[in-house]
Amino acid sequence: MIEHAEAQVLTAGYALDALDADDRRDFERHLETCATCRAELDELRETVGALALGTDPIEPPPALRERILAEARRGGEVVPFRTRRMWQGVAAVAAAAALGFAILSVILARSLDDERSARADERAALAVAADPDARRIPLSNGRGSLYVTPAGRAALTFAELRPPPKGKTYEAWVIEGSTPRPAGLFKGRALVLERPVRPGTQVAVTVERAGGVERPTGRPIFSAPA
Amino acid sequence: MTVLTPPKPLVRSALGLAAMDRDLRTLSDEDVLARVTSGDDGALAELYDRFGSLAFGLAMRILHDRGLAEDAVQEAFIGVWRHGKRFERGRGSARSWILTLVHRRAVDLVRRQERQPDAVPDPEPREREGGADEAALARDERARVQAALAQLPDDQRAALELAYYGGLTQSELAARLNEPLGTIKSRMFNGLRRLHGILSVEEAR
Repeated sequence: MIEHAEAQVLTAGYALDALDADDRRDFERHLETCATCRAELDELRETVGALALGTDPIEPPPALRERILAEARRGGEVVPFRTRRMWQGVAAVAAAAALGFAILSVILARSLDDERSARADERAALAVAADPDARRIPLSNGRGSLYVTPAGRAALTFAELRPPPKGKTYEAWVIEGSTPRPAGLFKGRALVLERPVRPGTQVAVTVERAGGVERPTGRPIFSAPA
Repeated sequence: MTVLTPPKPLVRSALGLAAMDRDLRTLSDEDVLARVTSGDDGALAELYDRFGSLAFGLAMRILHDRGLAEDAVQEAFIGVWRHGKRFERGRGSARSWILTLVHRRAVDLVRRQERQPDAVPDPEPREREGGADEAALARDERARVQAALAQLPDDQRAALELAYYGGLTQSELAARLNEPLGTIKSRMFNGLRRLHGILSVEEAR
């Protein structure tokens, strides 16, 4: 636990989203028990809100409004992760080629049940992704993201994920220290991890034989520090 | 303080919906947000029309990339749609809450980009791209905030601007300014308190 005075000075950094992970954790813990800091935070948040007004408004493209409303009408469940230009291109292609992904573009017919459970997984993952308190961490090598809530609930989402090779599956791992622990198999392109993800751990995805394995056998194709 | 942005015309097929929209326009931000939590997508559209340009301007200021800024705004508004219930009346304005979500998404994105040493935003106001539909009130408010910032000592203003608009964490700031972390922490606190004081006095006038 940190002392009140030490916590109080963090109020500003917290309101500005500028605390480093360890301070943020300490501050949030303190906040639970300190009404003074909560009141101070509310006040400073309004001031931070004013900082947002100090920027020049820019008219967003009209299509953005439509995308947001269309997504909301679908229940806010399907987040159409836009192609992220920055991670597109050479790096992604090179990474995919290196892993032999270019030749794996066979579309496997899925049974209806598989399709349903894939959608259910995606909905669950996108609920985590839509949590405003979740931190978002782009994955290495991929157009995907890791979302982690303050409680450690985590989800992996991909804008697109090629079907795995025949007889294979994508398996997620939570790596604490140097020990990878299995965290679930992808049925669709998003997954809520079966293990909590704490700061300082790594999350990775490997290709494994269908049904999953207890220890990863391949190199991670995607990874992210939590 | 309230920004009044004239609502943009909505494309509606039914007259009844148009009447509801008119009704929405007369509501406070907080009341519109309450409608959002009951699943009214017209209310979400209304909030977007009120704050979309502000949100996008803020995200652009932080990210300097239209695609990423669109992502940040989209995710923030879907956050509003799904988690509007988390907004607590009496703990601040709906506008601040929404902009907090936009800011958080934008800094999450900026921190994961390969940050160039000089990719920190220019403190000068950027050229506006917004149309003529923006109310003079919003311009006044912007001028007021910029004036308040200008009253801060340089080191405090820099700390706030680099953190808020640049997305730097406190330890990144300490490294950048070559100062102890503790100094940065208290400077940020003192700066924000002072800014709060300046804005409160102005408001009371």
